[in-house]
Amino acid sequence: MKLAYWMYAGPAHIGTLRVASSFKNVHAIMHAPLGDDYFNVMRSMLERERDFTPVTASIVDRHVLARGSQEKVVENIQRKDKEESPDLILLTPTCTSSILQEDLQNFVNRASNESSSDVLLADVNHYRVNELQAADRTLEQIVRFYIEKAKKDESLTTIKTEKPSANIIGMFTLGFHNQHDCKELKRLLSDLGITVNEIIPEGGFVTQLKNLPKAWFNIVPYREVGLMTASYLEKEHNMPYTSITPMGIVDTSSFIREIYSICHKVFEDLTNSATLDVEVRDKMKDLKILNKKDLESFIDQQTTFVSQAAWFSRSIDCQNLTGKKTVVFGDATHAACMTKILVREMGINVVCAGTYCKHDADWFREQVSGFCDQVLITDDHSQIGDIISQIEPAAIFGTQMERHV
Amino acid sequence: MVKNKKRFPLFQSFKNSSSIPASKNSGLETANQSILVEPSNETSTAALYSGQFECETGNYHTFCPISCVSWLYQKIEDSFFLVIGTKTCGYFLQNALGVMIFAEPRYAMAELEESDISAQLNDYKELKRLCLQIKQDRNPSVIVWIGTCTTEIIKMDLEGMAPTLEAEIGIPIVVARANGLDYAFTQGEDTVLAAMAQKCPESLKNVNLPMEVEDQATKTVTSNSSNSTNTDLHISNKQQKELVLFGSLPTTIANQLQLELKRQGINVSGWLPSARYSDLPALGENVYVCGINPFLSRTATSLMRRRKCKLISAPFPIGPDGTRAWVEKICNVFGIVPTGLEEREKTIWANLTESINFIKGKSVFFMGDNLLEISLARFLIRCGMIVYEIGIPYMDKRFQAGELALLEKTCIEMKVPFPRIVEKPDNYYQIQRIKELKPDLVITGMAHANPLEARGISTKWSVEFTFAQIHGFTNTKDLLELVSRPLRRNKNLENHDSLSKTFALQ
Repeated sequence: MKLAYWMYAGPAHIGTLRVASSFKNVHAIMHAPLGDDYFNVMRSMLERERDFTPVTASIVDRHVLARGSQEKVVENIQRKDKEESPDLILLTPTCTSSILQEDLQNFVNRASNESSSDVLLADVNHYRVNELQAADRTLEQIVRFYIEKAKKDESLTTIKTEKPSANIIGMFTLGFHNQHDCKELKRLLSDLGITVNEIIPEGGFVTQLKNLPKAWFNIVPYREVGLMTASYLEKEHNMPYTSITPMGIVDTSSFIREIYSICHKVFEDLTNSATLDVEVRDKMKDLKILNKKDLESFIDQQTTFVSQAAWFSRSIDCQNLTGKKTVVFGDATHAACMTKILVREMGINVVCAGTYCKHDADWFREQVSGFCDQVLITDDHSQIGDIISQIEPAAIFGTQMERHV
Repeated sequence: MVKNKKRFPLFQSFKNSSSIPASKNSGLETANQSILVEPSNETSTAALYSGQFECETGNYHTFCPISCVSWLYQKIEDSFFLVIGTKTCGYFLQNALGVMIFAEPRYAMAELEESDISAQLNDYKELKRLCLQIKQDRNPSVIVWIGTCTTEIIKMDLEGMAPTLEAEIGIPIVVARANGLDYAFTQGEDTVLAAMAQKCPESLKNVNLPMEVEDQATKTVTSNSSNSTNTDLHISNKQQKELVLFGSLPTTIANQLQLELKRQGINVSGWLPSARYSDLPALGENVYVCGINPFLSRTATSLMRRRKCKLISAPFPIGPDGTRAWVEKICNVFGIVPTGLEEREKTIWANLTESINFIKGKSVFFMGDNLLEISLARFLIRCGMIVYEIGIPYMDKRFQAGELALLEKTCIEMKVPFPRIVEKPDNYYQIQRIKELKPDLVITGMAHANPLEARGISTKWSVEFTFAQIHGFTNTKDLLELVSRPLRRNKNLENHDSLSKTFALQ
């Protein structure tokens, strides 16, 4: 037992539900007692979603405890199948119901015999993983299921798109600035001449997941959710991916350059395997992403003139930022990027950089060491609170909890 | 009149003025009966309500009962609430409370980890360690352990451990099982108050000699019988009658209600809960108790059965009609003829004519989540609205007998059909019914409010009724404004946009 006042990442089932409700036409069923379905409220109020949250709680009460949940769960799955006609029904327990150790997989098998939608059980251990890890795992599980299904059906397309294309993996509901980031990313890709193949899970259809391998490569903008899926696609379908987060001028440039080398390689492979039409190939050479000189000029132009950030950092009143002390804390992606931006691009001193993503500690340390004096990997809010009190920074880049130090 | 006396010997209907003490009950129903979450018995309900009453046993959304921590820790100023649960519980409370509580945290999660669930750790030792830490950090006057679904399932013996630990660390521990397996939302407060009732001191009027204290323990249920060999032990009507009110209200509102009673010459001896743990009211046979909220049935039963208090059954003091009926009933029990109540009520209705006219004739649908629905519906019907359906997670028909009777009376007077009461509703079917009925206003939780608004239906989010001030005469205006606000807001927008514009595809 531990005395906990604040948690940075939510429980596992929240991650699963975020992924499920981001897809279109997926309905999730929570096997849980009354009150565990506060996710519906979060999505309706925080995401300000217009539609009913596609999550139904199959309530566990004393009757269910006494006689087992099989009837109720199977009945609810069949009911939702009829009422909502989703492509996929995802069953997930919560911490409480997972202790009951009921054979939910069995219920799923029974229910899927009689339903027209696919039925899956979210395969996550609620006492070992947190919200982000569960989201990553659930997304991978769903992608894997549909790709294997397509393989069996022989409807899987592995033929690459003619022009360079990418999947964006990891945009989903209640994500920090996901909507805006997605718009920017699409704009950037469009400037580079890359078409967007699929964005998952936000707004995606599970029936389209079989099209994922069509893209030339995958983009994982936030490492917390999406890496597992990208690794799977790399292993099984030879799809390269980039997990550089395009935040900040330096990293955006690295991101673009990495995409360049990926696309270049894919282009060469396609040329060598003679799958590309000669005319098409020639036209493609004009695309920015395949033309190194154009690309570098694009990066330069964007950095120096289009983005105001670099000029801002160079302008004279920002000289006062030099040497100011800051503390950065958040998820691995944002904390690492923010640290690098503050130090490399604005000349600000980051005394302590930290993250609550303990499972990603190694990557985080590697990213920020050299840019900050101290690295803190913890999910105990009082530790970061103490450090902030000690250091007394001019600014804190942190989560909601850090506002209250 | 209660037709079926065998089923309801404990409570009498609103029309009878006396209340029956628990000890007179020869029915000897087991403690469980009053808290069974059972489907309604059609014949007995017919005695209480002429409208349609059913139990849908559907999938519905409400908040977890541990949410009561968010208002109880503020009410009981020297308390500390320790919720013993998992990440799910913690994350919920965190979202519900917001970060504001961290200015002065008198609540924490004892988070159960894998080693706790698989019984690898000694739970007594773990809890002791945490409670000592709490004592060191906060030194509260009482620690309230809130059991959750998880502690229920792993059968953690909180009630067994509490007394021993209490003795060891020297701080009283109250154990309340506020879990979503058995209870919904506001019933969390019910379980906490029921547990706290055991900690209330014994009323001094009962304790005359040490000998009698012992005899108290062995006293049988039929002590009021004239054949009893225990002399001078039972409290006769000549003894001082005390009044204790139960239910958590902000102190200003509690004071308002107390003032109303004082105007009639009745003094309130105490409140459960009190603002400080040390001020818990004395309870005993001479104490009459009356609740101020409809979801407190378990507290009522505890007070009656275990503390031998006498329950005053009345409609609840929500809205001027309810408040008047509540005051009147208490006066009746204390043998006082109330004065000025009718005029008070009339004046309030008169002052609010304009606000009432705005909602008069409009229809409302309660999806149901906070157990206040019957009282609110009754008030709105009195204001001239039509109520199609009242969803409610759990309905204790005996505890709400007075309210149900008043609801029926109000419907008859206002010449509107009786609303259909649906216990444990199915939200999905309710949405279909709403689509068909097209009510002017839907009172629902935050899981459904936005999607309904997006589809052109005005909604009032129900949670606000649990923390807004809705009790008493003086808050009628605020209560009315709460209900009319969504209609007023949408009317304002109407100037720019069509009211029936939908923001959703289907």
